[in-house]
Amino acid sequence: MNKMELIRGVESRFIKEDIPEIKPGYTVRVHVKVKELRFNAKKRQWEERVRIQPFEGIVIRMKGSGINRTITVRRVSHGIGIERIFPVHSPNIEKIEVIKKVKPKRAVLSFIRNLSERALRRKLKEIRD
Amino acid sequence: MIALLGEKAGMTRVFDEEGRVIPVTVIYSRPNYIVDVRTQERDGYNAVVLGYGDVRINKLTLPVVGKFYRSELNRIKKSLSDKETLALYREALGKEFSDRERFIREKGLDKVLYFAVEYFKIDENTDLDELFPSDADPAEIMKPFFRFLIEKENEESLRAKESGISKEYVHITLPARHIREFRTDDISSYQPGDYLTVQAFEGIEKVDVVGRSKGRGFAGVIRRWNFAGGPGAHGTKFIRRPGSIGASTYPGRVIKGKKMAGHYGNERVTVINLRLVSIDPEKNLLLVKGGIPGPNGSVVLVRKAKRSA
Repeated sequence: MNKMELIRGVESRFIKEDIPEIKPGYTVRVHVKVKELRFNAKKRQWEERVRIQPFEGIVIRMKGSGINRTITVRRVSHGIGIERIFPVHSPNIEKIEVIKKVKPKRAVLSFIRNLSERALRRKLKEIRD
Repeated sequence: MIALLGEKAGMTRVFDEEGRVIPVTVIYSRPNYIVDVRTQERDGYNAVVLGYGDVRINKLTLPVVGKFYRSELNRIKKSLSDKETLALYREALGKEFSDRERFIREKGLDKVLYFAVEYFKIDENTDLDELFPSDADPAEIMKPFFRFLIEKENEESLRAKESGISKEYVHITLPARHIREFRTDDISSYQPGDYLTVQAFEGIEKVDVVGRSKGRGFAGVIRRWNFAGGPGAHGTKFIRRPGSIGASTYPGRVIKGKKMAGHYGNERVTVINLRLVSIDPEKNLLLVKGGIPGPNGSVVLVRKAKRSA
């Protein structure tokens, strides 16, 4: 049997079919599953709880294909830039929503780190459909 | 001890229950043929001889073909004692060459078994135990049969050429291109002629993988021994050189084992204690955490970890 088919077969268990089209420059909201321990005062014991935490920002780079695909999402929170890298097929990602589409002119948008809000708006023109 | 031969299919990543990424190597291991079982009495040690991959019978030398006497005898006996299987082979027997070949391919029949039916004239009424008594010397029965097969193989290739069928399809193959053995004292459960599948690894957590590393030819010290190399500019001639290889008058020689340029790779490499992430008996796959030696497609031996903590 073809070796690549075998590997695709292994990956197919994890590949998500429902991922929207994402491109660099798009604003996305990534719903991340966060596992945390909470103290249940009633039962007087620690409990594991899964919470969904949204992370919204601009995709500044995409890497890999198939199961190896990752996206780097940048957001500015309280004046501090935060970039997180998500493997899009990870089971820890509940879903990814596309909030805003733009026409990307670069594959990697490292330059937006040095831009002001206003300059950013000018560089990334929104497309509406 | 348990071991299997397989092909390195390549690497990918999987996620565990926690959602963590695990880099894995996929090993494709079709059922391994048990070529022979070595016993203390006969061979001086206990071991199981595994075979992997098909090989044309004419590609083998007679001494290698001899290894198959016992296992092929068992296989013929076992497969043909099933009435339905035998009926299929009997049906193939009556057919014209090209029809027969198509039939064999469609039904997934084995040509060794097919010719066994022809050669030993086996039909529904044949008592296989009488034909192949268990106390007989396998060589005595199988030697003339294998000679017959070798002749047939040449004949078949010629006939294929005449009738315009691709030669690949008509070959008589033995199921062991690669032969490797592993030692174990528990040999009672292994029978020559049987197959060993990835299910044998059920419940095993750690494995060792033995393979042949990618050949790198004559390599310099930077590649072979990770030397740092020189600055590469500002007029220096010390770019990828090894530098000094020792002192002068004392000791007056180069110390043995000095790391120098030379042949690198294409040697036997064992990676120990890899986690066996999962097995897939349906697709004959083993998933092992991390990398293993050799290019994709190379044959590797996977065994239960010898020195797992």
